[in-house]
Amino acid sequence: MIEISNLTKRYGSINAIHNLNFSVKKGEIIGFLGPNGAGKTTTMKIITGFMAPTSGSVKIAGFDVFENPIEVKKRIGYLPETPPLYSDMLVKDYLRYVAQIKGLPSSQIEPGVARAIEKANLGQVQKRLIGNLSKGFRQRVGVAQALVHNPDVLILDEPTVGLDPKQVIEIRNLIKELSGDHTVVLSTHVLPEVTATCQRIIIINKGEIAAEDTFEGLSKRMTSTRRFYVKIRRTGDFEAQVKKIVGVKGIRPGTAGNSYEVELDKNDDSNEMLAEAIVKSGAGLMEFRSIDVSLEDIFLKLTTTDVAQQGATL
Amino acid sequence: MTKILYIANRDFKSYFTGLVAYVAAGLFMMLMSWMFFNVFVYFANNQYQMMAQGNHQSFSLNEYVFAPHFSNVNVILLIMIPALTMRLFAEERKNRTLDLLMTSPLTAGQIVAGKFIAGLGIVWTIIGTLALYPIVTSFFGHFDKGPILTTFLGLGLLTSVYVAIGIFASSLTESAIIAFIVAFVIEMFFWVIGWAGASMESAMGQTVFNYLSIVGHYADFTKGIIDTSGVIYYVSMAFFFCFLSQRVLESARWR
Ligand SMILES: Nc1ncnc2c1ncn2[C@@H]1O[C@H](COP(=O)(O)OP(=O)(O)OP(=O)(O)O)[C@@H](O)[C@H]1O
Ligand SMILES: [Mg+2]
Repeated sequence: MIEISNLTKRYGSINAIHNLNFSVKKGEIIGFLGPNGAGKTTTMKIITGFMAPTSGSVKIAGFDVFENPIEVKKRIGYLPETPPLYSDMLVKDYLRYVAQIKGLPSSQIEPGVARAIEKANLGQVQKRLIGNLSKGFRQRVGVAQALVHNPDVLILDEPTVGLDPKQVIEIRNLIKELSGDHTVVLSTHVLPEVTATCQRIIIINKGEIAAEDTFEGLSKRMTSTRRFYVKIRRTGDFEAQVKKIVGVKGIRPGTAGNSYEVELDKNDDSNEMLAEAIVKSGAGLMEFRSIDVSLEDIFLKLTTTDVAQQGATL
Repeated sequence: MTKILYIANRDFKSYFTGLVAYVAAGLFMMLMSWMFFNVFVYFANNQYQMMAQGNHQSFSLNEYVFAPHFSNVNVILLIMIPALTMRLFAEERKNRTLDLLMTSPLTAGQIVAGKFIAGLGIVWTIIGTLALYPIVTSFFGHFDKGPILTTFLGLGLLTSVYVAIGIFASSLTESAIIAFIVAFVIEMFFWVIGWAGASMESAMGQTVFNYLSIVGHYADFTKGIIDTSGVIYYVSMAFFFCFLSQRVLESARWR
């Protein structure tokens, strides 16, 4: 449904995103996870046709965003970081207007508006002026405007920001409900947000994809094992010797000559034993360092506490 | 086309949800009535003096009342229209609602056209109140209806240029105040160009500058002349500034 290839965006000399490649299948929900300034919003602005990339291409349902922007935009519902709301309009009038400019046939406008109001749970405020709504309700109107024309693809930039715990859970449930019929990309820097809603996670850091996996896959990589880069002078039967060490899960040749990647149980004892064994083996240790650090660093920068959970324990 | 009207409809209505439309119309009518009163009193005094001197030839209402009155309108429009159009794009930028328009299946041209119709709609609604003066006057005085009609045609064309300039200025910035100033400066430029023409030495230069002047053509319309070159001038100026706004919107994607 979404095909992104070699996407790069530079703001002057700042490289906001660099050579992104990923695709999203129909009906999938993916979480776009990354610390502040990682390039999530930039990527989303390009996918929605709001902004042109410096290079690379985006295809939605087979249409190129820049060759066929109108076709692409018909199929996308977009909730930007700041919901695009007219404070002088009533909620319902606003949603009707969005449905109109999204090109919904006139017979489908009222049903579309009604459905969006129902899904975003806006029934009680539909006749209120948007300018008088609380932040949480405004965010929900933002979600509703993205849904109103029943688009194939939903691009949601931090959809639960500013909501209270109950509302966060509501919006997440809404997003989960949307999967199947809709393809959803949502961005966040809250780790539990993606675990609660997404089937697949793309971790982006400093404009590049750092990892792409299911949450289970990622957390396995994060928690159970650790990989080390080892460089020695004399190979001999080094591989066989290392395999015998307790805690070692695997070893394979690394990129440079005489180097290896060793996968190891994640605990300090195994760590120590591996280091000791290598030194004692007489292979001539040159270099020994952890290579999963980058992913860990990113996770450290993410918000790991969740408003929804906080709410539950209050 | 329907999408253009949807945009125009929303923007037009939003003039009335705030007090903007009422305040603008109220001020406009007050000023215009006061000005009409002044030209009329001036006219009546002159007429009275002539009669006192035993001269029964009467002044023409067209020439001494409506022509000056309708050229006064132009000065007010010079300020009122930038004030009415300044928010059309600037506000959408500031509130990030432009993001909605830019990610909807609309072309930049459709967005500009919608704004143009909304701006022209509110301006024409307000200048429509000017019809009151000739209508009321017609109950007790005789005058030629032709020049009044051509004046309205001229006003319609003239205001479309001001609205297009206002929209262009508004597309450049997210500050309504800056949009107002930029629009005013561009309008002034096309006024002053006429004065520059008058002080030109070469006949060629004079014709060119007079042609580019926004005021000169309008004066013809108030005299009852439908000047085709004026019509062409106004239409192409309006089109040109709408085109520039469309370019500005398009280029926003590339920043
Ligand atoms: N208009 C702009 N001009 C210059 N630099 C920009 C602009 N917009 C974004 N950037 C830069 O591009 C990088 C990526 O920004 P982006 O907004 O995409 O990050 P993000 O992942 O959405 O972050 P956040 O979680 O804070 O929303 C940042 O370094 C940012 O400073
Ligand atoms: Mg962002």
